[in-house]
Amino acid sequence: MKQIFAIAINCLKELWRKKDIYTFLVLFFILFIFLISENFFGIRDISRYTKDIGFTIALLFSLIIAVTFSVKQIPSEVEFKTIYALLAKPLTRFQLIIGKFLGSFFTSSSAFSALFALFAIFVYIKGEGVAPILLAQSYILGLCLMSVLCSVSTLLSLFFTTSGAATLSFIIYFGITWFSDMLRNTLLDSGGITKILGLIFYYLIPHYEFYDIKIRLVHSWEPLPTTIFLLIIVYSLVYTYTLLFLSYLGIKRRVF
Amino acid sequence: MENYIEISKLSVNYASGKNHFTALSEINLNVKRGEIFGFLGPNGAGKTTTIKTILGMIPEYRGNVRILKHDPRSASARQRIGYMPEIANYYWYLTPNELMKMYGRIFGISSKELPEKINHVLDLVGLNESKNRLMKIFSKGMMQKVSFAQSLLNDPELLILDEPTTGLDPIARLKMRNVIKSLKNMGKTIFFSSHELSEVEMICDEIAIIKKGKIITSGRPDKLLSEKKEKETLESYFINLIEGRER
Repeated sequence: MKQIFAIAINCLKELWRKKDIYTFLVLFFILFIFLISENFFGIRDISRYTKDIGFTIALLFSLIIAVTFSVKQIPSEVEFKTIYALLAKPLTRFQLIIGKFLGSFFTSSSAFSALFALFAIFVYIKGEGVAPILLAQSYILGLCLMSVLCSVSTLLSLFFTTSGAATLSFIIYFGITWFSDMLRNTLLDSGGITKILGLIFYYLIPHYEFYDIKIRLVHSWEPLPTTIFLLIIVYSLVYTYTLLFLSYLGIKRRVF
Repeated sequence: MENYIEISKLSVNYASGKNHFTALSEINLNVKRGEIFGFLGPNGAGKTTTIKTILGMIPEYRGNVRILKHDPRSASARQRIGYMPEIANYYWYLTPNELMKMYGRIFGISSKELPEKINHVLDLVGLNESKNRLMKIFSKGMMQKVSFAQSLLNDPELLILDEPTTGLDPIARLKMRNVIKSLKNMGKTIFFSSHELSEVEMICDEIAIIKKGKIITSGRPDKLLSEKKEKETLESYFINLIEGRER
């Protein structure tokens, strides 16, 4: 574990020293401005929009940080040749993958936590009456989303260029969140081999739509049933681990 | 004396699409405990591939390789090895102290021992005064020193140095040579590749010369040179051998 954390801590230092943190501060400031501008619009029922857009911004900005940070972790080690000194140490390639993943996960989770905290504080100051358990669920599912996003981006970064992996990660995210319902319904209406292959594909893709319970937050609905909530967490852990293992297989026999 | 590096009939092929390239062809190499072994050859001869194989960075090869009695691909073998890469690139956003801390943790050195070890290795290479400066301001020579320091951090039994004196000024080069000699006196085994033939001649107990993936000669430098009719330096011997003027 010491080895893994040494790699992960280095990722956090990189964020700080390379001034990537400024990007986050700008994003934080944009969210802050948006949240305090509610009175400016003076529209009735604006609180729903505040919750809707505020939460979307917090999630979207964290997503950007998760993807852009994850995709460069291993390629930059190779590009700057720092990987040689690392691989010459008693560190397995699997530990390297996990360490890099944890670094990206800690970074994006910290960003999400700060943005979510800002959002939650505003929601409570405004007295919006969101159930604390619903807020907690949104937060934990947001962390699960970061975990899956970082593992998808890490895997893609091993086979595509940094910009290609980032673009693909975003396309996969938005494609799934926007079209997965449509895809499922289309597949259920189809038949034969198309349906079988389509469903296999459907069950293999990362189901990002599981993590977005914004609609419950906006309309102050009931929290997710505990079983469903726990199943999503288990799904995230299994999915993340599987992708990280595939990433390991991707570099296991690679000559750097 | 026991062998710390045992390589027999090692062949490494690189494949890129349909193209295959033989980087090493059935090389044999033994490095005994406590000796300084110089590994020489022109660019592209296979020196770095040999070093990468010793360090377990080449997952697939033919032949037998044992490093400190271990398979080089196992992480446990690398616990006792120090490696200084040919290109001294490190995380420029870190200080030497932070870099050593990171590597120290990877080696599993306790946090109690680590500061003392860091001070010791940075002192050895003359970088203690700059240990808290970001490496982005470091010159090439200073980065070489960082590189040398990190290779000594785990107090390795086997030290692998890939072109260690590149970029160093004559004084730093002399100091490094002295450190290498003192490491040998402490019983360390040193395997190093270099283009600096005068240096190799001065400090190596054994040498091997590689050309196009094959070892073309090996032995004690003084013995190899004494086989010649005319008095030769290692440099002229090397050039004649590589250029194929003899043999």
